[in-house]
Amino acid sequence: MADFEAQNPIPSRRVPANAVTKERRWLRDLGPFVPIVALGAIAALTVDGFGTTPNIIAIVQASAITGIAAIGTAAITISGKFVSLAIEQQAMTSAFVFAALITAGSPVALAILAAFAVAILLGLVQGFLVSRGLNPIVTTLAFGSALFGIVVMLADNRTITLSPNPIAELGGGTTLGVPNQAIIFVVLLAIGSFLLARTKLGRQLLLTGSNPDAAELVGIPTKRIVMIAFVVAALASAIVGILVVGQVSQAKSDMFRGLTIDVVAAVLVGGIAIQGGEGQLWRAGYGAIVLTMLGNIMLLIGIDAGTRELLKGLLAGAVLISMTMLKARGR
Amino acid sequence: MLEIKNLSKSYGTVHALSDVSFSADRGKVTALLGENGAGKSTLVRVLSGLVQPSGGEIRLDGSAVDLSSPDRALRSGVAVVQQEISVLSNLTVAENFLLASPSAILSRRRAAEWCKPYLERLGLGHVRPETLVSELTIGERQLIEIARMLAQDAKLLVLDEPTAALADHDIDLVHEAVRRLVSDNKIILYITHRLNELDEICDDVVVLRNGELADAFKQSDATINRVVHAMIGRELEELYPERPGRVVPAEPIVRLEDVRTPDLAATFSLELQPGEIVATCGQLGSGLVEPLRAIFGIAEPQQGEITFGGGHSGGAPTEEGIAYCSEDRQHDGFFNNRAVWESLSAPKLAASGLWGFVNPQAMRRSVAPVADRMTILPAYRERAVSALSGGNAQKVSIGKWLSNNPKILLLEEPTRGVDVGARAEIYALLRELAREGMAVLFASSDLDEVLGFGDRVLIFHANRMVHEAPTRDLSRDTLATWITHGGL
Repeated sequence: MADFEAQNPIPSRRVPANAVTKERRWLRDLGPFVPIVALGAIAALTVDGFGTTPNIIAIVQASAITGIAAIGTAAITISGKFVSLAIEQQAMTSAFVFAALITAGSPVALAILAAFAVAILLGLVQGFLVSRGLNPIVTTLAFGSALFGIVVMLADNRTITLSPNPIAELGGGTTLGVPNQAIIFVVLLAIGSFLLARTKLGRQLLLTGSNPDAAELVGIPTKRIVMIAFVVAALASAIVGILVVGQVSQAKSDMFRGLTIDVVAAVLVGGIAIQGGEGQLWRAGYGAIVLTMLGNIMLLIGIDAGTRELLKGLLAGAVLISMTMLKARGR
Repeated sequence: MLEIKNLSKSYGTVHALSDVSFSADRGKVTALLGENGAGKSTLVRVLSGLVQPSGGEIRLDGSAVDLSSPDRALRSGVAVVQQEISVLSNLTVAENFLLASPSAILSRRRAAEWCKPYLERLGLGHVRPETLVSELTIGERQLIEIARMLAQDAKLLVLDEPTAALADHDIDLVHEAVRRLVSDNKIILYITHRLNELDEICDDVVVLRNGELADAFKQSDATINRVVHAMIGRELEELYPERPGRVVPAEPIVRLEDVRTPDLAATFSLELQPGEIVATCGQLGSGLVEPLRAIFGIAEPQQGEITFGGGHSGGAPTEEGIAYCSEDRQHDGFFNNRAVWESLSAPKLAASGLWGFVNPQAMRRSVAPVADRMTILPAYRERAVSALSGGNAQKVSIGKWLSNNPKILLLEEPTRGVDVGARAEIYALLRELAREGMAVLFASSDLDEVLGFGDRVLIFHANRMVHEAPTRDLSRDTLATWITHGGL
C-alpha cells in the first residue's frame, strides 16, 4: 500500500472527475458510524443504566446471536445473492437435531457434528438451486417454509427440553466476566474477516459478487462459490441454534421468531451493499450491535414494544437512505 | 445560437471543466471532440441539468437558460440524447414517446398520431408507432431516442456519440436524420470519436483537452493532424504500428475446420499462427464474433473440429492459454466496483484454484508489471475501475489476461468507445505481444481498424464467412462492399 501512495505524482488535473477521492472514501466508510456514536454518547449521558458495564455486556451478548447469523448471511450477500430468508428455520432445525441427539444420549461432540452435517446439506441444496439461476429470495423463502413444516412434523410439534443441559456453560456462561456467546461472536467475526480478505476463496467470493459474468469468464467457479456461501450461512445458523439451546435448555419451533428479519436488517444497517461484491464482514457484526443497542436504549427509557419496532424500522430506513446518498455523492 | 462563456466545473481540487467558452450556431452541426476524460461528459451533464457548473454562463439565443434540473433543461429547449440507448425495448415506439411526454395525462390512442410527424422528420416514416422497440435495429432505436427529444420542441440537441455502437448502414440513417434537423434550423452539438464523421456531417469543430478548450475551427480548416494535435496535445506519428516483415509459417496454434456454431448459417475454417494479428470483419450481427466465441468455447460448434497446437488437454479455455474480451466490457470485462489491481489479478487468482491463502499485497505487486506495460498509471491502480475513462477501462479488460501469459488473445471490438490516444497505445501493445509470439484474433466492424491493424481478414456477411484475404490486398471500398453485400 505504502509504495502505491508514495508515488502519486499525477497532477490533480489528470484525475478523472468521478474518481473516488480519499475524503469521499473516508466519509463513505465512516458515514454509518456517525449517528450511532452520537446516539451512544447521548444515551450514556442521559439514560440511567445505559453506560454501566453489565448493560454493555448485555448488549454485546444480545447482539451475538443476530451477529453470528449475520456473519454467515453476509457471505451470501457478498456473493451477490442478496440474503437468505430461511435463517430462523435453519437455526431451528439444527437446534432440534442437536437437542434430539443429546436426549437420545449421544455425546455432545457427535450431536454438534450431526447438527453441522445437516446444516451443510441444507446449505448445499439451497446453494445448488440458487447457483443454477433460481431467485435466492424466493428459493430460501420456500425452502425455509418447507423445512419448518418437516421439522415440526418430525418433532411431533413438541418442545425438547434438555435436563441436564451439557452445554449450559457454552450457551449461557461467561469467561472472565464476558459472556461466552459474545466471545464466540467476536472470534467468528475475526476469522471470517481474515478468510474473506486473505484466502483465494474469499477473494473469489468478492469478485463473484462484484460481477458474476466477468468472474465466470476469467475462470472463477462461480456456481461452486455461491454454493459455498450458502453452506457458510447454514453453518452460522447451526452455531446460533446450538448456542441458544445451550442458553435456554430447550428446542422448540418458535424459538427464533423474528431472527431472519433482524439478521437482514443487521447486514443492511451495517452497510454491506445488497448488490454484492462489496463490504467488509465486520459491518454485519456492527449492524447487529447497532440494532440491539437501539432496542436497549428504548427499553431503558420506557418506550413500549410497538413504538420500539416502529423506531427500529425508521432507523434502518434512515441508515439505508444516508448510505445511498453518500454513495450518490461519491460517484 | 448557443453561447457558452467561461464555463467551469470542479469537483474538489479536480477541474473537470475550466474556463471553457465557445458558441454553436443554429442550422449547423458543431462537433465536440476530446479524449476520454477531456471534459466532454461533464459538459453534457451540465447541459442536461445533471450537475451544476461552478462558474460561467450558458445562453441560448441570447438569454440565459435554466439548467438546474434535467426537467428544467428540457423545458428550456435543451435536449440531450445520452450515449446509452435509453428507449425501453419491451414497449412500443408510441409508448416510449409517452414516457417523455410533458403532459400529465397519457393517452395510448393519441400517442400514435402524436409521434408520427416526429418519426417522419427523422426518416422513420416506415416505422409504425405500434411496433415494439425490440423489433427495430439499434440505429433505428437511436433515432427513436432523438425523435423523442424532438417531440419536446428542443432548440439545442446534444447527441452524445450517437453512432458509437452502430453499423455502417445505421450510421447513414443517423447522419441523414441529423441533416434534416439542420435544415430545421436546430443547434446540434455532436459528440463523436469517429473522426471521419467530421467530413461527413459537421460544420464546426470544438476540441476539449484536460477540461479546457483546446481548439475551435471551421470544418473546412480541419485536418486530421490539427484535430489529433488538439485532442492529445502532441503529434500522433502513426495510429497503427508497423507490420513486421513476412511471418515465417509455423505450426498453427489453433485450427478450426468446417466449424459451424448455432448462430452461423454455414461452416468456416480458420488457422491462427503465433505472431499473427487476424481480423474478422462484418456488420453488427453478421456472425463476425462467432470464430472467437467458438475458440473460447462460449459458442458450442454444431459441426466441425477445433484443434489446438500441441493437442487439446481438455481443460477450461483459460487453462489452455486462451484469453477473451467480449464486445461489452462494461458487462463482463472487469470488476467495476473493485480496485483496478483486483481485476488485473483475477485470472491468475482463478487459475490458482479455490483453496489456500493469498496475500493481497503480493497480488498487488504481481500485477504491477502488467499495469506498467498497459500504461495504467500507478495512481489509478487502487481506484475502482468505474472511475476510469473508456480507454483505461479497456486496458484493464485486456490487461487482466496478460498475467496468465495467454497464447491466443480474442478481442471483440477492441477499441469501441476508446479515444485516439489510448487506441494507439492498445494497438502498439497488441503488436508487441504478437511479436513475442501471441496470436491475436479480433472482431471489428470498424473498417479502418481492420485494414490498418489486421494482417489478414475474414469477412462475414449474413451469418456466413464470405471471403478471406490479406488486408494489404483490400481497399476500403472493396471491404465495405464485401461486408454490405457479401460479394463484389
